[in-house]
Amino acid sequence: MDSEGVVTADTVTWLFFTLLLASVMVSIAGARLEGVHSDERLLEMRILLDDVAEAVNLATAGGPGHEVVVELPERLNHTDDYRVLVNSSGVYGWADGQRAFSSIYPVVVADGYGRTRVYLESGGRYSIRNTPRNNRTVIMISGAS
Amino acid sequence: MHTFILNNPGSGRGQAAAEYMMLAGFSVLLALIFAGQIQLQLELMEAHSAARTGASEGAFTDTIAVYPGVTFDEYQSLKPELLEPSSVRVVRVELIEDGYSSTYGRRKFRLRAWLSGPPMKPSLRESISDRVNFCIRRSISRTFGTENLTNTYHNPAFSDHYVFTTSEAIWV
Repeated sequence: MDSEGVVTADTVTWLFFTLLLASVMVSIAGARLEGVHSDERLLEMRILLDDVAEAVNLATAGGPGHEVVVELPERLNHTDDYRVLVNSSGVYGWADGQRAFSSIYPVVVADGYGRTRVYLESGGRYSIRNTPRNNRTVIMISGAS
Repeated sequence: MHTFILNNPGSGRGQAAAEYMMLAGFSVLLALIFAGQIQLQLELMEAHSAARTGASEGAFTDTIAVYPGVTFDEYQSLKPELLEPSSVRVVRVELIEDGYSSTYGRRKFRLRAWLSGPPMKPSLRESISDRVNFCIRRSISRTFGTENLTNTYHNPAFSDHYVFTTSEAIWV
């Protein structure tokens, strides 16, 4: 009997079970990877907001004239646009329908035009400076070169 | 039977003994039956795994406190504590069989997450539990591509042969 090109029953059974298990594992791994990618995006937003909040708190704690410079990334996770707002209660972020907040030590925040709600642009570089005004601490946020 | 083959005029090639044919036929039959059962078990395993992935996603959302816009607005006015990052962990996701559901014509399973986290008000824990449960159901719907069979809350969630609901998480 010709033995070439013959596949034994064990091989067929083994192949069947291996393919079955592999298909399930690929599906599970795919779902996990998708979840990790989504988590990474949210995590980057959380880290960004906490960094900005920390910079504001550092400027407040450092006393008059203390300045901290923050640099914002162009995109979150290389894909998503985002927006950041700083006001007297904290730092707010928006990205892809998601929102987050990071609290700061309560302080008056203003930009060069006296607006107390300051929007930070993605990819921007900002100076956060402790500037006393009428015996009150004001955190001035302005573009830095 | 062996003799039959040898005595048969013509070539011995391309012939098989009746025992062999019966054995092979029976094996194929058994394999088909087992394959069906195995496939169902694998489906359940895949759904359970999807539930765990969903639970982790839900807990992670609460851990880093990044929420969809509508939820964020609700928490900002009613539950500001949830806007701060916390440390919620999924201990395990339990799969409980509820028997055959005549409503859906499928076997029904209930998923219950076991969570651990810092002490907090029951209303906050309820919100976190709801989020984790939603993510569990959504993950199952997405894994099996059955979003079109269910509602916005993915309640219940469907796999190919089963239906899944969730119950309030247990905090440990």
